[in-house]
Amino acid sequence: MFNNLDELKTYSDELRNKKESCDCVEVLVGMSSCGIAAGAKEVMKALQEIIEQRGISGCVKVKQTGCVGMCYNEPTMEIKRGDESILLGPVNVEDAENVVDMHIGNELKISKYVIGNKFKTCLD
Amino acid sequence: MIEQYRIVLRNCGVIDPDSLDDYIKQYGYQALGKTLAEMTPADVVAEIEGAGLRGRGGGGFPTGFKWKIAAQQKSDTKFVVCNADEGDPGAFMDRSVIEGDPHSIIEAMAIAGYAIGASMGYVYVRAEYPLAIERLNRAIDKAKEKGLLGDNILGSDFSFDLEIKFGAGAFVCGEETSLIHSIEGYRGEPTTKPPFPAVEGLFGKPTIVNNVETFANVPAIILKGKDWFRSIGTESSPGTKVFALAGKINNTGLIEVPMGTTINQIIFEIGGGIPNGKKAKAIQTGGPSGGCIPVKYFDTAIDYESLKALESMMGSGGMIVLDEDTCIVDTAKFYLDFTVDESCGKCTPCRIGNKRLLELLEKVTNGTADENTLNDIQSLSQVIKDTSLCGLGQTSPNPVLSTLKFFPEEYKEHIVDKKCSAFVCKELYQYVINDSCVGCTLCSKKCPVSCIEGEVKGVHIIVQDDCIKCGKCYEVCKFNSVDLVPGGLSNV
Ligand SMILES: Cc1cc2nc3c(=O)[nH]c(=O)nc-3n(C[C@H](O)[C@H](O)[C@H](O)COP(=O)(O)O)c2cc1C
Ligand code: SF4
Ligand code: SF4
Ligand code: SF4
Repeated sequence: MFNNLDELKTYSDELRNKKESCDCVEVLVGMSSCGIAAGAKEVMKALQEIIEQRGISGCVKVKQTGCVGMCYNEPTMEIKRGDESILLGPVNVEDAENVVDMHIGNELKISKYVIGNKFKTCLD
Repeated sequence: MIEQYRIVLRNCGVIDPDSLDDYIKQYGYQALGKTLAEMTPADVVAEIEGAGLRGRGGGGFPTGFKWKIAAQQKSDTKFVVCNADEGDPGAFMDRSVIEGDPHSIIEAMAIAGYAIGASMGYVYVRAEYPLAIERLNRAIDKAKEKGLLGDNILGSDFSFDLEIKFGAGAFVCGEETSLIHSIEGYRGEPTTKPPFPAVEGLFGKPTIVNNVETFANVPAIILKGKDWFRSIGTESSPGTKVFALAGKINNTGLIEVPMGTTINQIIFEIGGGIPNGKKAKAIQTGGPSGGCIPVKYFDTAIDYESLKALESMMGSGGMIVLDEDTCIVDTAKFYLDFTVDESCGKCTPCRIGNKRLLELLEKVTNGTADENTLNDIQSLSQVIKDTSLCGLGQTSPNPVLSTLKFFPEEYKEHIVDKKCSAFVCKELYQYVINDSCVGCTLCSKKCPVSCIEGEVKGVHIIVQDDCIKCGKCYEVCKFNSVDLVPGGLSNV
């Protein structure tokens, strides 16, 4: 419950500071209707299983997000490591293992999956 | 190289739409908090008006002005309505915003409620968008739990509640008066304006209706200020526009660019150009109310005024790319066909006029048009525009008029030469087998109606009267012996 604007701002600041102090990898899978239609749910499940099996789930978080707009590359995902981020796609179930190896196990910046960088927004 | 800049889509693909924390981390609900703690309702209206925000649902009406009219009305009850009916063929901007960032709409509607003095809002969402509805519902619940929606928001004395209404599944329900009647439980049919909804809307009370994308801009404007917003885009159309790129383009999808970006920049720099080395012919914007802009105007900087000057309109943001293989008459027919299907039937010019207009276009595409047909098309279009009751009918001839203006030679080719250079209009071309045929018999085996005759190792021949023009023979022949040629009108 937020009782006023200051409480909300304080909480917002806390959330941002918390993130910056952690070097976890975040995998954001595009899960809007378009992504789901292209198989994003199955891809997300596959990623979670692989990460679980390898025992790295403590430092890798797989999350859903909305659509980045790149319909022609669905299913898409973003891999975030601190301030760095890359967009990948199309990543199908059979690519999941590869993506974990290349972009989470190793920190490759270039691969056949890389389709660009995060878009500039008014909140940057 | 032009880059995308995202205001409306700022959180789409960035946050988990089901996480309120994620939204708050992105300064979520701070715009609402700021308006409640630091601004009067009049300040909010002035900020939106000063920013020059215009309606993104198609018309480009100044949002602040609409809010001001509603705010000035003396009434104990007022309403805020979000139009998420999104009926244009090929458009999915609004769906993406709600699915990817539902809290931004909730926050914006509460800000609008505070500005005009409303305590209740409705989001009218297409029933065909189940995931959007699900995420919006969850977001509303979470916002209420945390005191960001409902009674005494953020400890203030402002209360605002939201309810979701499902669209009745007709394109015309996106028209604001129709949408209001649909929420009231009546048939989704338009009524005349005035009275405008801002004066007399939902349940007869002052109501603002705004599009999803319009609302998504609001929290950003409040947080960053009107001057910041005005610094993006053009003088008459500040801010950005989201487009859904579709059709003959490599990078189909959603993009957001500052107003004033040129069509060339969108198609070739962001959209990656036309597939298969084809040439672009035109873009269609504004959906069934818009028109086709030919390639020679692709250096136009896009805003509300420039598109209007080119006989099209901004519309909600569908941008369909047509390549050289597109028949422009067939394209106009496609949109008119849509309108005829979606006309609610309340008024005669739209119900019957559009049907007759479609028949005239069919005469052009099937080769039965004559020298009077174009005049008939022109004058009927004008009557439909002048006399229809709502925006649907008033704009329905636009795809026809714009293509007629920019591609007159293509209409004439159909009418005079009985020819469709794009080989789209079936009645105006035929398949013939040339002398290079080696008589392998493959085509005759594959022809679904068995209308290809000939001996093994002899030149084959197509019995034109029976051919259904499926193109199978053209596809399977390994010797380039089947030609696609103009003509063939006689055997239809
Ligand atoms: C036939 C017809 C369909 C419409 N469909 C939509 C729609 O799907 N979404 C929308 O926001 N506006 C639609 N509009 C425009 C609305 O009537 C209204 O102008 C708009 O919701 C106002 O919001 P804005 O000022 O924020 O754009 C439609 C108009 C007509 C005539
Ligand atoms: S113009 Fe068409 S859609 Fe609008 S009220 Fe008349 S018949 Fe209905
Ligand atoms: S176009 Fe189709 S129907 Fe006509 S001859 Fe070829 S295969 Fe047969
Ligand atoms: S497939 Fe081509 S070469 Fe073979 S019979 Fe038909 S037209 Fe002649």
